[in-house]
Amino acid sequence: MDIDFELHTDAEGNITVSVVPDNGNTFTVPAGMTPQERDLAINAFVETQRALDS
Amino acid sequence: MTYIATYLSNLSDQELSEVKAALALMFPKVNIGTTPPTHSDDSSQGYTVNSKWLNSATGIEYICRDATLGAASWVRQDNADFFGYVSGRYYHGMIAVVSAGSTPGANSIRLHPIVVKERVTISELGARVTTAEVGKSFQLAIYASDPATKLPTGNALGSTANMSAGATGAMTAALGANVALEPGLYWAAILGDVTSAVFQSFGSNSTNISAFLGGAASQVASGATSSIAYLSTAGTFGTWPDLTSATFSYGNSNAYASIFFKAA
Repeated sequence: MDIDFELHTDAEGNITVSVVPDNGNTFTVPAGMTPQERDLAINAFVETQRALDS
Repeated sequence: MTYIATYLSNLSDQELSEVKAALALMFPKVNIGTTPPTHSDDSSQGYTVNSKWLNSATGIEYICRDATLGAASWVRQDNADFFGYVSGRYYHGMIAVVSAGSTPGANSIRLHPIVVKERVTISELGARVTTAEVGKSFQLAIYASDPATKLPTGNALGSTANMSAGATGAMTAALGANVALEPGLYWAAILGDVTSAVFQSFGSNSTNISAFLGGAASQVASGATSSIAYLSTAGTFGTWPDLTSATFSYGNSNAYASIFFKAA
């Protein structure tokens, strides 16, 4: 089954990544990272979750 | 007043009843409360067909279509096809088919209309990234519409912090502060520094804007290359300008984002 991701940014700029359907795993990227660092961190989590799902 | 009192006192019960009925037709009972009407708000309470009821807590108005005892029927005005926002849920502001988009590009504000059907406080905006662009970001905002032109106007009513365009998925973000919206037309906007990131949109030959703004026949006709899908105006990523005097271009591609909101 394919999984999807939800990324929620709070008012301070912190980003929480959730897996859909929910597998209990989330990942938070704190505000203040450079966009490049932020996205590398997010995609590392995403790839890990896809590997777990496959 | 003395004359009226004397006149009424000389009427028979039948005549008085007819006068009351005539007055009810001319001046149906109006109620302002903090709850919606029920089936029991009927003729026994003085309501008649065409009575009005305003729920001041929600701003929703009702009209009485049938005042039958114990079975009164009240219909929400302007919202007979809408049944209310539920706190905590996300909503699109239009009923439309989503489809693949194309990149809106950098420093270009892309706006599409949304309709708020009843008073609602929103806490977040969201969009779906379908093609990621690592290291790039975007923000979302909501604007009021000008009552005369229907175009976006004023400063943004609310906007988000930077959101990542570097991964695919449903992206949501809190507004700087919750925004209370009255029913009406609003504009949802995206502005980013993206050059290749793609967002889900409502398509390139949408009737979204023509349904609200009107336009030339070639713009309103579906499938025409000149049909209108979104508005755009120049911007600078990170800054939401006052759009009161902005000049808008009508976009006929899918290079924008279908933006949704969250009911607080």
